[in-house]
Amino acid sequence: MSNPSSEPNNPQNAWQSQPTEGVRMSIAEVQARASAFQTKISRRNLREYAAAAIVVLFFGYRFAYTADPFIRGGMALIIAGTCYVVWQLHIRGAAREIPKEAGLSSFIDFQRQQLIRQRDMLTNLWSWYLGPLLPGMVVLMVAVGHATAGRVPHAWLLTVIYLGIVTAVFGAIDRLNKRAARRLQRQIDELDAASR
Amino acid sequence: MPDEPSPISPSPGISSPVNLSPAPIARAQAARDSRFEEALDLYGPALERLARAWEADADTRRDLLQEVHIALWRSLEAFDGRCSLRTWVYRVAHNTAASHVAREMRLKQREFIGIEDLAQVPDQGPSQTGNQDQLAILYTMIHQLKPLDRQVMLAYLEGLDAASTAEITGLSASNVATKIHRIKHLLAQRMNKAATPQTRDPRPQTPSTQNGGPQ
Repeated sequence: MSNPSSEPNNPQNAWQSQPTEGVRMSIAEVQARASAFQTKISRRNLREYAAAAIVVLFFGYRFAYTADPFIRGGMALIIAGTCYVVWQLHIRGAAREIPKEAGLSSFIDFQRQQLIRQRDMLTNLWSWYLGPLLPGMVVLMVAVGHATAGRVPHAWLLTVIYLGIVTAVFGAIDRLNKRAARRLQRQIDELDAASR
Repeated sequence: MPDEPSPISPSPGISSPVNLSPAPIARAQAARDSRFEEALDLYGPALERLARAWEADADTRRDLLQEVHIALWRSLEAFDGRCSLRTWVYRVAHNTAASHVAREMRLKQREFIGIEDLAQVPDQGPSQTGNQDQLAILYTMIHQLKPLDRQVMLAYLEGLDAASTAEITGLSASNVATKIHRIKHLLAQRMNKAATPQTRDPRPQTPSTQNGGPQ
């Protein structure tokens, strides 16, 4: 490591001699903050689980009091899909904090791993997020259309409109995430080019 | 900062995690804590400068510095002496800070540029060359740079040689040398321009053009 030159206009001099506040965390503070950070992550996870629990409880309650097996099948699929998505969020969310091995990887390697993980999450959105939720929603909507046909005017037309809306929303989410994945891929390509 | 990092041996009890009874665990934790203290003694000011370089907002910067300290403390559990403590500290700090900036980029839709493109960006630095003004020029440049180039510039400013910078960033030493050459050239241009009175921009400065340094 070289010492900054004694030249007055040397930028290394200016940089290294700038006053610092001497911020220093004690071991106890670090431990407390690390623990608080874990609590924060746990609470965030809990909020996700709570939202999923509301969905599961709602459809679970309706499941218990609905006789139509077709509608019950749709609800069961929604509950199963929601549980699967929460499990996936739990697994994939594990990388939210900086791993202990961060000092073993150079920036390019570390950043590349992170970007690939995020890109794969976005690219495979259908397999772990949209896909598991869709069957239950489609079955439920068709089942409700079937059950109300003859009693509600234009029941099938309404079903088709609802299905169209769901398809459009899921399609838009997929397109947005694929665009984000392409942006991440460009960053990965840049890192690959830089490391050559 | 010291010129050469002290030779580091693996922490006792860390490299052989099998059958750890309470006493070796306590020793390993004590070794991690003492390594952490040593890292802050040696590189604490550099970590502060690094946080300033990665984050302009004062409140967020404080959070980032804490995040770096916590990540460093946690990571030292895995420190096995395969690289110097200095390399380890810089890697953890830069990886943590870059992840922070990546989050900010996603939230604020910010775009950064490479060293090669920085020469094309109009200089918004101050018009004199006191120490504070040099710093303002440096921060203006740093805050515009992409994470990888930002690391190279910071490593240069901290006085790290090309080989150490390559070890931290993952770039080849020759690639680092090329980037440092460009940085030096650009810095000389900006500093000289600021030092030459006739090249000053006669337009009145707006708050945004005066605000090149840390917030």
